[in-house]
Amino acid sequence: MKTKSLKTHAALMMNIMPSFVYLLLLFYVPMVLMMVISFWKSGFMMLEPVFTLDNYRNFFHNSQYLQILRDTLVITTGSMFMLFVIGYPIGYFLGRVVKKYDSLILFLMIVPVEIGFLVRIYAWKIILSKTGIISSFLVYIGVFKEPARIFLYSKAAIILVLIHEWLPYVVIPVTIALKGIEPATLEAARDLGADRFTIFREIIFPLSIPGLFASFVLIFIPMLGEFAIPTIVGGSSTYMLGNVINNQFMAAGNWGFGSAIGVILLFASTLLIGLVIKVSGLEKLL
Amino acid sequence: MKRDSIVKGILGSYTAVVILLVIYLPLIVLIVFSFNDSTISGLPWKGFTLKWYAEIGKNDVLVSSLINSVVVAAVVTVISLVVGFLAARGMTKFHYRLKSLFTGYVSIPFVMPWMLIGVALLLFFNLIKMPLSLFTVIISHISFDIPLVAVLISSRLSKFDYSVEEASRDLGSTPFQSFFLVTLPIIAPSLISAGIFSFSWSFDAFYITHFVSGSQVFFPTWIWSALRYPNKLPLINAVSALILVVEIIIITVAEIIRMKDEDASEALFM
Repeated sequence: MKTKSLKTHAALMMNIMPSFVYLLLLFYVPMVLMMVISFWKSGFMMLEPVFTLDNYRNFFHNSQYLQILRDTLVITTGSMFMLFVIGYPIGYFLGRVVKKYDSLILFLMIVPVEIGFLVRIYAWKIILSKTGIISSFLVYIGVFKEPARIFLYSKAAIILVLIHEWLPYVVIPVTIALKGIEPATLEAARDLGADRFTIFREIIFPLSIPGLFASFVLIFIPMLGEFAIPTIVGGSSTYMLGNVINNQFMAAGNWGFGSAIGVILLFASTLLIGLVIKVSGLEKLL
Repeated sequence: MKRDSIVKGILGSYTAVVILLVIYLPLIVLIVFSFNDSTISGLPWKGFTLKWYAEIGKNDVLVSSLINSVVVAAVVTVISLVVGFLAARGMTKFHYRLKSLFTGYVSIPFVMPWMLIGVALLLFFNLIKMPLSLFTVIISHISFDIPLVAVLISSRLSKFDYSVEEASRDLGSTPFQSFFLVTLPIIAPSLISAGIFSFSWSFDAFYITHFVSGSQVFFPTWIWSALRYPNKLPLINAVSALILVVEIIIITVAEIIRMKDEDASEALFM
């Protein structure tokens, strides 16, 4: 008995140790290091292990950075909202209405967004530009007198590309959540006299909330760290926090400050997720 | 009944329009303009040409960036498959007190912004004085790819009956025999599809590569710098269209394998 449990223990260790050690060394230690360095004295190409709060002070005392933080939150929550509005009906269609081909349609949605990230952003730039297909089409049918950019270089363009990038990650969890609803539950509701709208409001929608939450977690934090999309379609006046971090590391050379913004980003996303759990009453569901 | 089919029609056409306009339009535009005989990717159409495709092979930096990215993706995939598969077993097979803690520990990098992983690793390599190279790119990608593989495979393993392994052990096979002769054939489809996903993720991983690649050029970082030069744009169109088509074929194969094996999309979300 004793040798058996020792053997199982050894087998367990063999399975969990490689990933445990690897992620400890090359994910958790670097992440903690970033948090530590955010409290170090830092300047252009200079980093000293001396404790300071200056990096955070510089951020919160600079109205320009606070504006970027606000812009980032406006863009990400705006995109999240639009994603839910656009994606939910598709999830409903795939999860409750269509019986055949649902996995084929999901597949058609997933394939393109797993490849060519930068190139797809740039393709949107082609579409929205002055000589792009939308502008040319509108000139052709006479809506526009001359070619013009279609909200390229604005927050709206960033939101559009973010929707393109993340839509499948809303549709899939919603579809799965809605597929999981027992037909008996809906029959019971119908037998008790509930109409379609009541059934949707009282049963279907509440049961899809865990799916919406799953997509929120999966999408929102990565979205906060975006900098390629604002760089390519956001123009020179719209920045997100990711752009500032990228700048500090790749151009301005102030790594302590860049780390501090990274920590702020992580903190903001954790806070928001906690808030969403509280407000939506998900604690009871999880 | 009639109302049902109206709802179905409206939602169906809505779905089709959104998929076409929001998801496919940029891909179509990219492929179409890769054949346009003009350095400007816009209308009016200047005529059909294949010259941008011919230029791919003439650009040495582009070719070596493609080779670098393929090498990285291949090494990353092999290592992540082994370690990620073991982690997935740790998440599903055994019963121990800290199991859910281990599952969370492996999954957290999965929801982390990629750029922060890149930045943190850049700081780390700098601190331990490790020069940025192909090697740092590989070990950085693995940090994200282990969780990716573990999450994909654990959803399959959670439905796997481990007693077949035990049965083969009772019948006298060694642990390696029981793995290669019993377990592996059963879960091979999910290993293959996880491998293809981690390969295409690594090949395309701009955010992490950007921070830890130093002076080495990889495909996503080549695109990033080429986007600044308007005369390179048709070349970007051509090489991307080519890679899109290749990847669509590979991923389609992966998805077909995976769909045969399990309910595809659930893997990422359950």
